[in-house]
Parts: sequence; structure tokens; C-alpha cells
Amino acid sequence: MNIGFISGKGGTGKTYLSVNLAARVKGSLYLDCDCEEPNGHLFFRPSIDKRHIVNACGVSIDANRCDGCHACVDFCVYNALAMARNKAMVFPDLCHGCGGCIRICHMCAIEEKPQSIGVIMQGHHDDHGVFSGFLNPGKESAVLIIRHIFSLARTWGDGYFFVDCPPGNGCQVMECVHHCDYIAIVAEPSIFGLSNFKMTVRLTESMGKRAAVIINKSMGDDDLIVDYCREHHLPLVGTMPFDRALAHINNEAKIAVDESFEYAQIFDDIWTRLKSEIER
Amino acid sequence: MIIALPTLGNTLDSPVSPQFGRTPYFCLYDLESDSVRFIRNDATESQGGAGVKAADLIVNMGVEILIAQNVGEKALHVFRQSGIEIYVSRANHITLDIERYKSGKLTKIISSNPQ
Repeated sequence: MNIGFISGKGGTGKTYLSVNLAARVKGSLYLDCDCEEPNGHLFFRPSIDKRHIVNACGVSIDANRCDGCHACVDFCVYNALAMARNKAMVFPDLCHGCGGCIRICHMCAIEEKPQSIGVIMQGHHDDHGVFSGFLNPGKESAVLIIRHIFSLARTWGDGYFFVDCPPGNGCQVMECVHHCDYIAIVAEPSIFGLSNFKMTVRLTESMGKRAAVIINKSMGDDDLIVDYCREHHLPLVGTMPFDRALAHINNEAKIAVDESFEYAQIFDDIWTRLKSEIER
Repeated sequence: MIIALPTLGNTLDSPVSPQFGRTPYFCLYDLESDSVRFIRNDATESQGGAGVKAADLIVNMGVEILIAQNVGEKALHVFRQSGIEIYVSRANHITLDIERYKSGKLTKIISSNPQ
């Protein structure tokens, strides 16, 4: 059971909520899919069991075979190819690895050349599995790393998998949502938060996923989010207060539920409600 | 021999564009026939890799000399491979820059940041 934590807006508390909930659920898995800046491992400090290098398809061109027909350059929507002195040349930074040019080349001058785009650290902390994806600096997209994290997670067996997704509503988030069975939307009760929350709700709805909402950094008046949830029949399963002590624990990269019984209780309550929504 | 300049408009009084890849037009000047024409730069529509696409267009047009204010790293790479020479536009003016090129007063670009 993959539960994706998404928010649209960055800094709403996806990592905070997914880490603390995962820490309260026995034998759970924490998957850090925010590969551009993974930080869940800073809280779990897992012992690393395995490193998985993730390769994307890149291409190499055999200049001796290339007859300069220009078909590959015309085909590439990412502009990763250009023609110089009637020979195709490739810019690996721009290549998205779709492999289209390989198919289109009538001289068979282009072939696949895997390029490393990142790494997945597989580890554990107590009885929790911790998988973290790291995208190499300068690489375009972590979609393939995310896909690989989910395929590794499948070997873990059954249980609840807490998926810490990237911010925004782009390809990487969609890849995560695609693999998730249920979505927990983390919402911030501010005007900016609401605007991003709406986009995220639309994304989950259009991908046909069931979702629940957790409000974070609540200062008492959450009507902005609550009203929207009611209109869209979204269950609200928890509200975390804007709390300096909590923020302080988080800033020290400590897991709040391990620090005090009171916080453990709050997260247990959220989990009970989230779980009953999932099982509904 | 064809000389190209990225330009903000498609008339001779248009300024030279500060950008290469996303310039709206290119001015193509034919040295032999002393004639000028303008082409639209489709690369402006690209999400990424506009420099590479524009460079490919310039190579395709049979250009041998490019006069520009700035050229990005990737486009420069295409031009090096193609043997196209690039000069820094100082006058920011199509005809003045071409005159200066003819009298040998323009500096060749060797890195992507000529300034």
C-alpha cells in the first residue's frame, strides 16, 4: 500500500508528516522520492544496505555511419541533437532518453548509451525500510529514479509505504501519484497554500486517485482549506498546529514522535483516521 | 559567403539581439551579392535547447560568419564543430557591425562569455 504525500507548494510539511507517520507504523517503508533534494534520511539516519545506480538511456552517434539526413534533429523535441559538417551531434544534458532518434535513423548510426542520472540508497532504521533517491546535479528529471524506487519497494513485501513526493505538480509528482494507492495531501492554510492545494486536488482527481487532507501549520483559522475540502468531498484526517517546539525538533533533524509521548499521540490519531479512510 | 546576426526585428534598423538562441529573427547578409534577408527563429518556441536548435538552423542556412553579442556554450560547440567563425557585435547595429567586420575591426569569440 503506497501512500503518497503531496502538496503542490514546497515547505508545507510532506517530509515532516511522512517521516513521523512512518516512524509510528511498525515495519513500514519510507520512500524519499524528492530526489532533487532528498532529506528524509537526515531524520532516519538509516544504515545503508545497498546502493543502486540509476541509468537513463542516452545516445551515442557513429559519425562514420551518419549521412547527414537531418531526420533525428527534426525529430528531437528536446533539441538535444544538431547537425555540424553534415554529421549529427548530441547534447547529453538535453537528452530525455526517449530513444526516438535511434528508431528514426535509417543508417542505424545512433545507439543507446546508458548514462548515470542518480543513485538510490537502500537502508533501514529499526524495523523501517528507508529508500532515498538522489538525482545527480544538472540532470533533467528524476522520473526514472522514482520508478526504480517503487520497483525496489515491491521486493520489500506487504505493508504501508510512506511516499515522500517532490513539491509541485509536474512529471515527477505525477510519476509518484501514478504508483500510489492513496494520496495524503498536505495543505497549508494560507492564500498561497490554497492556490497550490487546488492544483494538487485537480491533479489527484484527474488521475483518479482517492485522497485525504492533512492541514499543517494551523494557527486556528483553517477555513480556506476546510471549505474547499467540503466542496470537493475530501476527508480531513488531521490538523497539525503551528508549534515552535515542534519546529525546533524538526530543525534539529529529530523525529518528533520519538521525542515525546504527546507528539506520538497526535500522529497516532492522524494515522488512525487516515487508515480508516484508506480502508473505507 | 553568408554573415548572420541575431536581431530583434526584421528590418535593417533593428538592433542586434542580446540573446542568440531565443532571438526572434536572424539577419542573413550575402557578402557576394550584397543582399540582405531576414528569417524567423523557430527556436524561440522551444522549452529547452533553443540555442542548439538555433545553431542548427544557422548551420543549415550555410552561414560562415556569425556576429552576435552572446552565444551560449552548447551553440558555441555546434559552431566550433561546423567551423563557423563568431565575432562580437560592438555597434549593436546590423550595417555598422557588418562594415566593422569587413574592415577587420571585430573580435572573434572564443568562449561563451565574450565580455
